Amino acid sequence: MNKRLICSFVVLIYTLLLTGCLETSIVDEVSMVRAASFDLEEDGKLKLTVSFPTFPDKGQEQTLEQRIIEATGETTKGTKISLNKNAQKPILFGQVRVLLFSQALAEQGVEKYIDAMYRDPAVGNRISLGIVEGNDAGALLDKDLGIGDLSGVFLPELIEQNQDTSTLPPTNMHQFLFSLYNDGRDAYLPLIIQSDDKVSVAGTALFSGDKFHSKLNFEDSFFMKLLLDTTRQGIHEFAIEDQEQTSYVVIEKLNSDFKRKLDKSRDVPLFIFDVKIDGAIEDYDGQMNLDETKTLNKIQQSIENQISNRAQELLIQFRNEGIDPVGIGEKYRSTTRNWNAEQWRNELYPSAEFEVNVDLKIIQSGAVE
Amino acid sequence: MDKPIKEQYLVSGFLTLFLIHGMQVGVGVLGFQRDVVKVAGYDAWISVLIAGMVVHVVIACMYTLLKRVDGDLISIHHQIFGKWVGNVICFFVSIYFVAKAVNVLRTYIEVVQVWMFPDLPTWSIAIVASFFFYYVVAGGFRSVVGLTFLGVMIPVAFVPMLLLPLEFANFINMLPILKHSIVELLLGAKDTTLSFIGFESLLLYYPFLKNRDLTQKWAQLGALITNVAYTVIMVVSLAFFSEDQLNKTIWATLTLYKVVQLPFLERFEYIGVSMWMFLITPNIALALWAASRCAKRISGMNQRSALVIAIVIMAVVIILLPTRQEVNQFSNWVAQTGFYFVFVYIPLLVILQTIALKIRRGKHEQTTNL
Repeated sequence: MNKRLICSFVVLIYTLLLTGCLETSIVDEVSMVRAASFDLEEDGKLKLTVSFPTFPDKGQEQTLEQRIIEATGETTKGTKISLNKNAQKPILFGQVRVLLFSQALAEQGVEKYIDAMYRDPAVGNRISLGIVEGNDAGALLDKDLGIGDLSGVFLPELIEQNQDTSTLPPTNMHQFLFSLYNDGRDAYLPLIIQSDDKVSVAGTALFSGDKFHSKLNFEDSFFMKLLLDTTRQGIHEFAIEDQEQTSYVVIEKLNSDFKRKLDKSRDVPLFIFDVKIDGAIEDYDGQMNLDETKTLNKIQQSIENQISNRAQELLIQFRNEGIDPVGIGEKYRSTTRNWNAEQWRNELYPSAEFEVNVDLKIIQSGAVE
Repeated sequence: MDKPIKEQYLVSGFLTLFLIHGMQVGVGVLGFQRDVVKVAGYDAWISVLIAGMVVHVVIACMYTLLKRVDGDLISIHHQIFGKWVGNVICFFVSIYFVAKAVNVLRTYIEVVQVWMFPDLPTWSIAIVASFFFYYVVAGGFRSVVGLTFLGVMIPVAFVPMLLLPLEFANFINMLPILKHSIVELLLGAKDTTLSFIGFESLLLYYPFLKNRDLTQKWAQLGALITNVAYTVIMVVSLAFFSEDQLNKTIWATLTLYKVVQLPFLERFEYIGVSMWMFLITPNIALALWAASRCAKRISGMNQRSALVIAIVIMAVVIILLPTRQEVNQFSNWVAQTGFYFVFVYIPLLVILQTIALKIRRGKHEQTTNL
């Protein structure tokens, strides 16, 4: 009994003593990076810019400042070492929320930079990624947005907000890597543009492998989203062409669901997308009476045609360019026992055909007639 | 043949469920997906099911062995091979259990070092753990069982957490089913060994169970729970990762936890890694108990001294394995040995025992006839 007491005492002493021996990461003794951007220097080196909040001394709690530092190097984590050279407190990536890549760098491939982050267990898997038009993503972090919020807070929320309200197809680091390492799918990321005094999301950047391939504008991103994800509470404006005049209608509470089918009975694979949408008319500037079933049907018909035509055009465009952000290959793979990614890319996909059926239901049209 | 265990040292029969299940689930489950997927691709979940079936068969084999002899592994070996050869084999079994304890603890320390405390020295946890496990195992089999019970009940809270990553599930990954050949599926099943073994310690604690003849249903149920849990984890992982992504991810289960985000907790895997301690303590404690029990039965030495030796060996070996490559190599050895011991040697023992009993009965009849 005595022996056991001594034994448990030793364990207790150990646990008390050893807890003090490790490197600590106290919140105001480290620089917690919120946003990081990756640029390519002219000599091919990586320029890493990070933004982190600094905590001012007592008496000025209301003014949260941020600092931006940059460094160049060959690898992500190697550059982090150089960042530390001019940082007051050690730089940590554990709280990073968004990684931005300039288009110029993305054209050379982003895998090695994202891989460095995936390898680091401290970095979350849900962080947002984004492509910045041009060749200077670092400038984005330094921009005075004039809204009180720091760029490290503003940018991730900008991306998340636009993905949640269902205008941009959703993605994060996990989903990007999922598509990147998938032989039946290509990745995509939100595209951000900066002008003199503002920053905005402009659409979607499509990837071929880990390299930037092309841009998709905001409007088309919405159609792409209908083909690859369910939408909840989205909102979108459609133009209705009616004889001589064009009127606009806004559908809100837009919920969509989709089914992919594959018809292999013919010579070339035919992919059929059934998209089901329901929503409410929120805004309408035309002259017709929305209470009449006939006009409502007409509007529905017109929107259905618009979506299905544009979606089909997009699918054909993707096919011709040899990229697959919607995961057509994945669908084909799931129905074949002798899947061969090479054969799919080179022979089958270029010959594939598409059909998009849209079924729109307008549930209500607001409180006025 | 052997002395029966005193009534006050026995444990209830239904605790077999916790002993089997608690001993199986350990560090293997943190990263078994990758090994299986490398061989069996996205049919890996079928491999897991096959391995689970085999476990049920092996448990039935063990009960056949144990019921015939009504003792433990040492009595079985004595019955079949005689005293000397039996003792030598049991000595290796004892080493095997120490190696298993080393493997579990060292892998866990590695996970802690990679995910939470990069500068945590290996020896510090190894030494603290040594005292802790001496304390538990020296308390006898009943205290080990108590720990096992807690080690199963507390982590039950993990189960719903594993379903949260289904937010990103893409079940189409798994279609079409059965794309791989039977041989590949079986090889995949072999690669799950490290996550399934552990239940063979039943061969040593069997005499400590009350109404031991009737405990087989609990043992099978415990194994069934493990199978269901592993299959669910595998299916979730397959839906969550794409194939090449999973091949790159060493601890897929922990990476699954990484996307779990609760309103009050941004990153769940840190809780996950800490709570995993509850899952692995029964593993180590029971393995050390089995090793020391084995040593006691073959040499007649005091079980506490045997335990001290086992723990010292464990701590030294852990400190001698500093890098990922070495830990991995050691894991592979344990998995290989475990595979041949559990899935080849134990069924073989049943055949040998049947033959041994036949011969002995033959001799017995001859003597009575004379």
